[in-house]
Amino acid sequence: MSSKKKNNTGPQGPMGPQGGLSSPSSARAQEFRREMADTEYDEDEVEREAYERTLQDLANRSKVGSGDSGLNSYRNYLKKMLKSSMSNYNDLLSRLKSQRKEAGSTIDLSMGQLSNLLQSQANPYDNFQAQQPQVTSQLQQLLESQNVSGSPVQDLASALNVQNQGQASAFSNLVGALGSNWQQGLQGQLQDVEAQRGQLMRGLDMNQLALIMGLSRDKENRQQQLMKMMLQVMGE
Amino acid sequence: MSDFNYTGYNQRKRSALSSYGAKSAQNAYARFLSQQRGARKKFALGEQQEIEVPKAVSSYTRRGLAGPGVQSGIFQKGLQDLAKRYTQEMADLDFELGAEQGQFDLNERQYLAELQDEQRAAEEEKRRQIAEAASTLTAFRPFLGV
Repeated sequence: MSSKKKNNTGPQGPMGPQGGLSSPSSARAQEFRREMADTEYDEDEVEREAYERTLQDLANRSKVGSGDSGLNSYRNYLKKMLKSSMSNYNDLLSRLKSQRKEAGSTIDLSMGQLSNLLQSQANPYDNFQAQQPQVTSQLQQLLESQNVSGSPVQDLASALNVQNQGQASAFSNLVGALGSNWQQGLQGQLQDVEAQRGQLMRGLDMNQLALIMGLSRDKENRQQQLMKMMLQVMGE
Repeated sequence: MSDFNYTGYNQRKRSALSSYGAKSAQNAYARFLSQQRGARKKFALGEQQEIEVPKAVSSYTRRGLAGPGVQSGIFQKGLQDLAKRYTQEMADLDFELGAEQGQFDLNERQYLAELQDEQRAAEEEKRRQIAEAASTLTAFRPFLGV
């Protein structure tokens, strides 16, 4: 700090009479006051010297460590963040695709196993045989032994057999209808399984698309923020 | 992929199987009782016929309408009517037993169909929920912080 002799010009700065060192009890303060009273300073010179000192400090700092100034270090840091952001995005995208593939396999497997289970079930109404008792004419031997014709009794037995056959057929038809309904229900369920498989796969694709869009949006937001920070730094 | 809890569905299937087992056992026992009842009735009917037939013949004989060298239209008609009555009675009994057995058979098949329906429903719900969970890609959402 350059100084010039002044003629009893009191100190003008913060070390003035109202300054903190003006306490009469402080010997050092008094000494300082005497020094300041005997010297004068040039404001322009002080500012110029301070500026030059700052530049020198910055130049000295740039030679320390990796050779980068603080500003370059910050810029490099932002570049690394951008690169890391892109790397994270690619990593997440890769994981998402892998999980989509696994989810697709799970859907196929689940629906396939369900379809196999349905097809393996046997129709519970198959091979139903209604009871059809055979009517025989009673007391045939007695009739023959008494020389009595057994034809009327045999005719009755025949008629009853036909009646029983008709009723057994009707019962069998009823059970057959139940079996047919069961079979149709099963076919309908098998079709539903296939429709569900398609629907779930479409849902999977839609969800994957939504997640990719979400990832992209996050990546873009992050990158935009980093770019903004870089631009601000460069502007300074 | 998140863990999926199967216990509810497996419990449902076991419960359906247990219910089917109970109903099937009851049905089988009822069928057995029906068969026994039918056999007793047929035996009783046969015994009744064995007792009634000689009485009927002897009544015609006492009145001179039956016997060696006797040709009586009343006796022939009476004997044929008796035979027809026994034939009808035995046929009705056989038909009743046959219808009961058929009903037990149908019951068994319907219980089996109910079991299949319940197992199918539980399995379908389980598989569908597994597939739905997979399709939502929920395991990936923590990576997005959602």
